[in-house]
Amino acid sequence: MAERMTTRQLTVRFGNAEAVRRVDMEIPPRSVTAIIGPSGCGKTTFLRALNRMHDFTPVARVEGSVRLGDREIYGNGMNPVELRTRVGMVFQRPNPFPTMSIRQNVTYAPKRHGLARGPELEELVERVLRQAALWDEVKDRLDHSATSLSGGQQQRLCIARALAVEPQVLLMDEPASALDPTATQKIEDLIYDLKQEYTIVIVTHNMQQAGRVSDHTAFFYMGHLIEYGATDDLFTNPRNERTEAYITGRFG
Amino acid sequence: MVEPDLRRVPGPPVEAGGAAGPGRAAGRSGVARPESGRAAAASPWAAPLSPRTETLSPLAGPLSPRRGGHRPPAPFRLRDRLVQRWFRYATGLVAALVVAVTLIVAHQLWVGSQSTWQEWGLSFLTRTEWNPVRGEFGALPFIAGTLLTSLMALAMAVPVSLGIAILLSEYAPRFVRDPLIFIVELLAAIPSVVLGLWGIFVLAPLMQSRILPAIAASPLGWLPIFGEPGPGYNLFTASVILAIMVLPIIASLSREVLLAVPLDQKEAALALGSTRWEAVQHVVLAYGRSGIFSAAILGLARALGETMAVTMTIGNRVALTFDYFEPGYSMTAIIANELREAATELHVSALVAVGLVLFCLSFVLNAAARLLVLRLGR
Ligand SMILES: Nc1ncnc2c1ncn2[C@@H]1O[C@H](COP(=O)(O)OP(=O)(O)O)[C@@H](O)[C@H]1O
Ligand SMILES: [Mg+2]
Repeated sequence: MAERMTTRQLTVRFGNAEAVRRVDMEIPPRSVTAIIGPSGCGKTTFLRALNRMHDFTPVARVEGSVRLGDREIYGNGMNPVELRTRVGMVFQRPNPFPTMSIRQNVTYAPKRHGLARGPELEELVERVLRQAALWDEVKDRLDHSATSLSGGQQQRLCIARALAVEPQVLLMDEPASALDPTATQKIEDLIYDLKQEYTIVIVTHNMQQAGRVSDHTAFFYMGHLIEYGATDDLFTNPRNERTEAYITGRFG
Repeated sequence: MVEPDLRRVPGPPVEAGGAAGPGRAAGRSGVARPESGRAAAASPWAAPLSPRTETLSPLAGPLSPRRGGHRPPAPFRLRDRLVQRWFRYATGLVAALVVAVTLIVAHQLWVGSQSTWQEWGLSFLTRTEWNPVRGEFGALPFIAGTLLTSLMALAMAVPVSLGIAILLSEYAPRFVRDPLIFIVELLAAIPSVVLGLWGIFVLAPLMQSRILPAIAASPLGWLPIFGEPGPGYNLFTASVILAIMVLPIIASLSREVLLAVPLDQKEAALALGSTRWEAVQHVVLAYGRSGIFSAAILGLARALGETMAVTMTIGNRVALTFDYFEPGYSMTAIIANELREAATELHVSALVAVGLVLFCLSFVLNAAARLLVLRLGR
C-alpha cells in the first residue's frame, strides 16, 4: 500500500517569492520522514506541494517534479482529486467537520468515493478508529457531534478520517502543535504504529518530536533542503553548520 | 506498545542568557511542549490566505465561540473604571429604550384595536369579509396575501441569493466579483417606490403578455397555486418584486456567512479528495447553515413588512385566494390604502388590528428563527 514519493527540483512560488527552492528529496515508504526548520522556511509549503493543495491558491506556482511511486503527480495523467485520496493530509489545527457526528466524519470521504457501504462501512469505521487509537474512547458515542471531543481526540479523529480513504501516503503538518503533552504523546505513538502501513511525512518544529518519531529527517532553511538523512545521524553529527546551529538551538 | 529507540537525540542545551526561543527549554522534560506562541506565528495559512475569516458577520454569532474577556493590567486607573461603568450604563439604557419602544408600540396597537377584538375576538383572524360600508371586517385575506407573497418571494430569492453568494465567495475571480457585488448593492439601494413603478410599467405588462402564459403552459402550470393567467397585477407579480427586494439582503449576508467559514474546513474536505463543489456543498454550506438560515429570515422579515412596492403591484382586491395569478391584498397594503379614509372608529380599529397581527407575525417568525439558529448553531 505505502508508496515512495520523490521530488526533483521542486520549486514553489507565491507571486515572486520562492518559498521552496529546487528541492530533491526521496521519501521512502513504510517510514516516517520528519521535516524540521525555523518558521517560514517552507515546510508547510513543501508538504502541500505533495498533494497539490497549492492548486487552490491562485498566486502559487509549482515547478519541478513530484512522483508518487512512478507516477508524476503534476503530469497530465493525474487527476488531483484522485491524488488526494492517495496522499492524505492532517492539518496543524484539528479540523473535524463540526456539523457531522464522529461516525459521519469518518464515513464522509469513503461514501463520496464509493469505497464502502452498509456493514462494510461500519467495519471501516471501527478499523480506522482503532488504527487512530480512538475507538475505545468513542465507541459508545459515535453519533455524538465531533465537537464534543477534546482537542487531542479531534486530531486523532482527523487522522482516522484521513485513513478512511485508504491513502498510500499521509502528510501531517505539525499535527501536535496545538495539543497538550499527553495528547501529543498519543499522536506520536500513533504515528509510530502507522508507519508499518503508510508512508508518513510529518512537519514539526519540535526537534525532540522529530527525534522520537522519525526515521529520516530533512532540515529546511529559507526554502532550501539543507540536509537530509537518517534521523540519528542528522541529530548526532550534522554535516552542515546551519543544521548544527539549528538543532543545538542557536537560532530558530 | 514498543518504544522507538530513538531517544538518544540530545536535548538542545539551554544557554544561559542565550537567545533561546520560547519553545527551547522544553528539551529537558523529554515531552514535547506545544509551542503555542510560535505556532500562531507559524501558520501563514491563517494569515495571508484568509483575511476572510476576520470578517465576522453578526450572523456568525452562534458559531463563533465567545472569547473570554482578558483582564486589564494591574494599574487600572479609577478614571478608566468610571468611564467603563458609565459606558455600561449608557449601553444598558439604550437597550432598555429599544425594548420599551417595542412594548409601547405593541401596547398602543393593542389599545387602538380594542373595538375590533371586542366585536369579533380571535375570529377576526379567520373572517374573510372586509366591507367598511357595512362595518364588516376580517383579516384573513390580508394575512394570506402577505404570507403567500413573502414565502414565494423567499422561495425564489433564496436559491438565487445562495448561488450568488457561493459564486462571490468561492469561485468568482476579482473582475467578476467586484462588479457583481456592486450590482447587488445597487439593487439594495433602489427605493421601493421606484421598484413599484418598474413593476407597474414594465413587469406587470410583461407578466400579462408573456410570463404568466408561459408559466401556465410549462410543467409548473400544473401546480395548484397557478390558475388561469389573468391581469398583470397579482400575487405572483408582487412576489417577484419582493424577491428582487430581499435578494440583496440574503445574498450579501449569506456571502458574509460563507466567507466566515474557516478555510481549514474547506481544506479538510479538499484534502479528502472532494471536488471544490463537493466541499462547498457538504462542508461550507453545512458549516454556514444557521447563518444562511438567519439571512433568509431577515429577508422574510423585510418581505413581510414591505409596503409600497407590494401595494403598487399586488392588485388590491380583497379576496381569499391561493391562486398566485389572481390579484390579492396584503396587510401592509390595506393599512396604507385605507387608514387615511377610514371614517368609522371600527374601521380604524380594524386596520390597527391588522397592524397588530403583522407585528405579532414578524415577532413570532423572528423568535422561531432565533431558536432554530441556536439549535443549529449549537
Ligand atoms: N498563500 C501564501 N501566499 C503568499 N506567501 C505565502 C503563502 N503561504 C506561505 N507563504 C510564504 O511562504 C514562506 C514559507 O511558508 P511556510 O511553508 O508556511 O513555512 P513553515 O511551514 O516552514 O513555517 C513564508 O515566507 C510564507 O510567508
Ligand atoms: Mg507551517
